[in-house]
Parts: sequence; structure tokens; C-alpha cells
Amino acid sequence: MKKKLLISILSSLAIVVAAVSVAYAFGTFKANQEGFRQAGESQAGHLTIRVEAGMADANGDFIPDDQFAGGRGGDLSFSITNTSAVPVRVTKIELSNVGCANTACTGITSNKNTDGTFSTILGNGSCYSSTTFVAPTSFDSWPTIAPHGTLQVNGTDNYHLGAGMLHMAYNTPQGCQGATFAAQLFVTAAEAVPNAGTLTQP
Amino acid sequence: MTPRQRWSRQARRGLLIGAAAFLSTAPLNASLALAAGTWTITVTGRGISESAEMPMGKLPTATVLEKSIRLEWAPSMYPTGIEVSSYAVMRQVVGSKDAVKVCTVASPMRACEDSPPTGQPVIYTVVATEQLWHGPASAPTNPVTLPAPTVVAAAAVSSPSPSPSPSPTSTPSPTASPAAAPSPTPTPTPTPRPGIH
Repeated sequence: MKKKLLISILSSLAIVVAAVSVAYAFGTFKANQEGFRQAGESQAGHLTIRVEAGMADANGDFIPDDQFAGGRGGDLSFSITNTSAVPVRVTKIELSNVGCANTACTGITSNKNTDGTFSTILGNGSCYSSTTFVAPTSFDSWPTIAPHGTLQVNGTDNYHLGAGMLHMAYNTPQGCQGATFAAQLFVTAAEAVPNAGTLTQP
Repeated sequence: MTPRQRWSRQARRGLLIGAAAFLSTAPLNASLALAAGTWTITVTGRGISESAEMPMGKLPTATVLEKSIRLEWAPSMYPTGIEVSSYAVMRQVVGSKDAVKVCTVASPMRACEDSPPTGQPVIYTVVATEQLWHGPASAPTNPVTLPAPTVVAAAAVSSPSPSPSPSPTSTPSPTASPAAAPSPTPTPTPTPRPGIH
């Protein structure tokens, strides 16, 4: 009788342990890759995306914020290409200071100095210090990127996804008019779970 | 019942108990299995932005009133169609290199009144501004001169304003001669008197 009970318990335990182990192995798999490239591309299992700089809008209205009332900020232009075979959604965008040579580096670079001169070293202008990056607070309105599709992020796309991502301080010097800024970003995307009503970017 | 049948029966019972145990932990298994679908990936790339250049101020129209000069101008816009947030109106005495700010006006207002020194031709320009930024000045207005106040014969009541009449004798005709403007006499300093803030 004891033997019967022992066999039953051992069989039960074996089944439970096997099921939990398999599920855990799948559930904890997560890929994460960082790099410092103009056009970053990475692969996590069957997920691959590429982030590329877009064209800055030379006819924009990116001006310094008001000291008290704030401001609308400037548009950031870039594209996210889903190079994988499954749909993905953007879940996070952060400023990255990977590759910064010193602690003052913010991840934003500029081609102009505050005195209005152009930087002799590309992207080394001092106007960078007047700018801050403001990440979107929610990505719920961001469309799903279809397999092999590209999502254009800027201030003039249908969704205005890139609007207001950069801001300039109220005391930004006069010389920073017409400056070009480059913000190095960490873009995180996740495999999109099909959901009724979600928009898909072709 | 043979021993073989007995063993088989025990094994079936064990499997049943095991299946029951698995089902009781199903929620845990389901959540883990669901987590298998949340693949994430983080990639580095760059976004580009460009700051605006301030637009030029628009040529103001100057209207000489009795005691002031009224200036009005058209809006200065960014290429996106948004108006600049403020304007500065500059006054310059004809022949002088120095310009003084006489008005700071927040859009959408685009008018200002100034009281320059009388009898002195001045020109005005408008500059679009944004915090510490300013754009190119507009073309200047034609020279305008605020006429000296006509001192009517009611000089009996001593006017507090020290009239800079060039004639030392009190002649009955106090019309100020136009040639009196560029006289080297110390005219009152052209203190900016902003009409609108």
C-alpha cells in the first residue's frame, strides 16, 4: 500500500516539475542588445528591428521653451524598420549616452556652438547643452509595425509621433538658431500580440 | 487480479493524481507560457532635429498722432504658419547709429505707441523675438517727426513744460521753426517710453 502511494506521488511530482520547467524556460527568454551605430540593428531570437536617423525638418518651428509656460519643443525624426517576420510594437524610447567620452555628454549632439559658429568637429557643438530629451509617456497610440514594415517617426507624419521629443531651455543662446541636433536613442520593441482594434503600420 | 494488472491499475491511478495536480497549478503554467510571447528587443539609433531660425520683422506703418506715433505691423510667421511669440519695436534718430527699444509686444498684438522727442525725425523697425532669440530687423519706416506741441497764447497759465523755444523773446507767434530740431541745444534725452508692454 505504501509502495502504491509512493508511485502515485512521484508520478504527480514528475508531471508538475516537467510542465513548470518547460514554461519557465520559454518565459524567461529575453534578448537585449546594445550598440552605438548610426543605424542600429539587433536581433532577439526571431525579432529584428532597425532604427535609422531621418531628415531634420529645416522649416520647423523648434524654438526655446518659455521659462514658465514651457513650449511645444521640436520634432525628432527617425524610422523604425521591422526586419522580422512578426509584428512588433514600440514599448520604450530612452536617451542613450553609450559612447559618451565624458560625464557631461548627454547623448545629444549639435553641429553649432552657442556663439553661432559651426563646430569644427562634427557633432561637437556646445548648443547640445541647452537641449533635453522628452520621451513619450505612453506608446498606446503608436501603431503596430507589420513584418518588414517601417514606422516613420517625426513631427509631420500622420500620428505626429516625434513631435515635442526635444526641448530647448528658455535661455538658449541666440547662436543656436538653425542648429542641427542628433539624439542617440534606445528603442525597445516587443512582439505584438494580435489585438482587435490595433492599428498596423504597413 | 494478477500482479501485472495490479501494477497497471496503480500506474493509472498515479497518472490521474498527477493530472489533477497539473490542472491545479494551471494558472502558473499559463502565465509563464504567455510570457514566452513577450520577446523584446532594444536597438540604438539616432533621431535628428533642427532648431528654427527667427523670421524677419515686417515693415511697420507709422501714424503720427497728436502726442505720439502709432506703429502697426503684419505678423512674422515660422514656415509652419505659427506666429512668433513677441516683437520688439526699435526707434532710431535719423543720422544716429544707436537704436533704442521702445516697445515689447506679445503676439497676437502687433501695435505700439511711442512718444519720441518732438521735432526730431526718427525711424522705426520691428524685430521678431523668442526668449533670448531675435530675428533680422524689418526694413525701416520712412522718417517721421512728432510735432512740437503748439503753445497757444494761453501762456498766461504757466505751463510746466519747459518749452525749448529757440526764441528768447516772447513773441506772439510761438510756432516752432522746423530748423530748430537739429540745434545743438541739449534736447531731452530720448528716454524710451513704451506704450505697450
